[in-house]
Amino acid sequence: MLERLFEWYRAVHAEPNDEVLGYRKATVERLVTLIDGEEDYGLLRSLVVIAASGPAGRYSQDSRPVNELITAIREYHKAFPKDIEENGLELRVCAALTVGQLLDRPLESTEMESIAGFTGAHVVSAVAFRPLPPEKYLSQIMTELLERAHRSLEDLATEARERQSVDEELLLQLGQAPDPNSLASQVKQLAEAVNLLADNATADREELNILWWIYSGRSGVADAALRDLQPGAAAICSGGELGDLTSVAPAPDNIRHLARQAVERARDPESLKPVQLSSLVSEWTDVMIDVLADPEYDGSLDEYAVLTPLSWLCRRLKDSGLSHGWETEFEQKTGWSAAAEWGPGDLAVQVFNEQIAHTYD
Amino acid sequence: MTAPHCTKEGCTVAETGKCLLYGEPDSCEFFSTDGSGAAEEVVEGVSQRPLEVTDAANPRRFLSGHELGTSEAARLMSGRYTHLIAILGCTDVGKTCLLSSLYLLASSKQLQGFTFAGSKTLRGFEERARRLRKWEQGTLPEKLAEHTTLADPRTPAFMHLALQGRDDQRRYELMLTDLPGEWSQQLIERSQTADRFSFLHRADGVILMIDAPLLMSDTTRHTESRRAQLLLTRLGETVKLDPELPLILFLSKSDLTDMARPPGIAAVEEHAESLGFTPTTIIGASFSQEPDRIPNGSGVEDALQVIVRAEHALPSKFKAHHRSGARSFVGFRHDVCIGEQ
Repeated sequence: MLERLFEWYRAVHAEPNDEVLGYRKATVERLVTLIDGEEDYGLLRSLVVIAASGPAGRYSQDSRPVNELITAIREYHKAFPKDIEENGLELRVCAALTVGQLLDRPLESTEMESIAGFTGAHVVSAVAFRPLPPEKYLSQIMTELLERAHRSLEDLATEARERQSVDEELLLQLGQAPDPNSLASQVKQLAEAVNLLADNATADREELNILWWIYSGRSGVADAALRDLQPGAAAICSGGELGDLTSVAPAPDNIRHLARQAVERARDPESLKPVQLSSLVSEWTDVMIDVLADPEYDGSLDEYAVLTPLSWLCRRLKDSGLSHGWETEFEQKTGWSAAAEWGPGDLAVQVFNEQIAHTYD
Repeated sequence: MTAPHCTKEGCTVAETGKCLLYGEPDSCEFFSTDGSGAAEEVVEGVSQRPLEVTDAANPRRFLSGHELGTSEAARLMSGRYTHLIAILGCTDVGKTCLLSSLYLLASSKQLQGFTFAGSKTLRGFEERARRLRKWEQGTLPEKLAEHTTLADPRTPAFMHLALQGRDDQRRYELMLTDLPGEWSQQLIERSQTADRFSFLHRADGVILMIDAPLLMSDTTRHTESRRAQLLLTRLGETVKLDPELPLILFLSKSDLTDMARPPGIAAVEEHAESLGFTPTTIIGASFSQEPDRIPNGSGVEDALQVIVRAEHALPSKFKAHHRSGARSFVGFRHDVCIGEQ
């Protein structure tokens, strides 16, 4: 994303000069190196939150992600202010650049691919349906970041599902009397071939399971035909169950389309018109909210709320026994409005996005 | 109010705001303020944070309170999103009057949609407004603002205003340009001066001031219209201003033309549209000769609302990315756009 550094940095500076841009470029590279060296994705998760919603109200001055950002910036730019009230927007832009760079850089190892997959899944979950900032240059950053996440995920997902062919010549050789001198290397080749076939089988199984689920038109969670469920109920079942059936990481875009189609198929178009989120949520049963109410989550609850807002809501509903009155807290924690209008197809896609993000937790 | 002073003999920063050694006092070691160290002037009803020197290696530098240069503006922009509004137009068209009018409306609680939430350039606004308070025999002076000059003639100066939305309680940080009319005139005459306007690539809106009485008069209509069109051409083709940016054609001094729409504005609007802009024409009067009939500040808030409430087109209509040659399963698409809101 560093090729967009100048355009994105304009959100915080009317005429960014080469010196400051150089500092920020070095900062982003420093943060990327830091994330590459981490064993868990804690800092990365926090940077996605900061990119999506800014640090204000989520992280204190003393929190680790804020400290890491400021330390990385001041390593090159000593005069950068420490106070989060003076630099909050700039921290957000730096976080977005770092997240974007993790999606954009050439993926030269499986670790880099894993990081890109985690990053993309969490960006899509956090940003795809988040209300865009009303400010021009911020909304531009968010839109471009989301687009980059989708592209990166799609490239990884397509590659992960390409069926590889086994070397038939190798199999023929192994089928004949093996050469004792090269037995070790032949066993290794055989193991690789078996792994390749196993990967192919996993991808086949995923495809078959999803297609059979679509063909049946039935929700296992609700134990009912999707078309017989109310739109909000069909949405959470569709998105959640397809997320469960997605066994090869990362998830491709086509499954989002399938989630949407499963909800919209054979329904009266009137019932698909956008309605308030609270209205769709009221159609969820306790069995359905278990789809997203993941009891285990590594990050803080505030991060959870930004990255997977519907999951936060499901957990809240579960803890309160599906009681009403969640709307105000939901808006404060997630930045989404309970009164915002959603089509059931969009809701299904967001449920799917969050389910996929959870597979990385 | 803070009281700046300087220990350097002969420096008049306390009276003029200009440092004897450096021009801008915030980088001068002899400059300081009295009191507890508050960096911002206290405005009634608006709480201000006290100054803290949080880092000995990077002590807080004071803003002079007059105008902000690009780097000073950047310090403010670093904390919160700031709407940068460019006010352009030739000499005496009323750019500074628009600024002063906006400030006075805000500080006297006369904005319908916003309340005043402070300014880092209060001193600058007050100086600009000072002239307006000089009444001679009960009438406004003919010239309401002094000719604008810049401390550094090569870089733009900004005035800062913070407002809070009455309905959404959102805080709006505004950075408004106060440029000499010569900048616009020189841009018309010499395209080489376009580099000065590079900050426009970060603008959230442009207000192009046009003199309504001149546009109304038969003898000056053509010249005023032509000047506005040339300026628009420069903005569109030389500066390459984003055509999606909110563009206001503000007809200034319209109290003198009874708030009538000058026929000559149609040609300016058409020309703006031909360049790809979608202009909004506002008939305004920053200060009125007949305030009982035509209120002071007419059209000023409207111009602001158009810019800060603008909805922005997304950079591109995003459709799910699909690699050619992928398996049919992976290539399946339901006929909608991902992430469409």
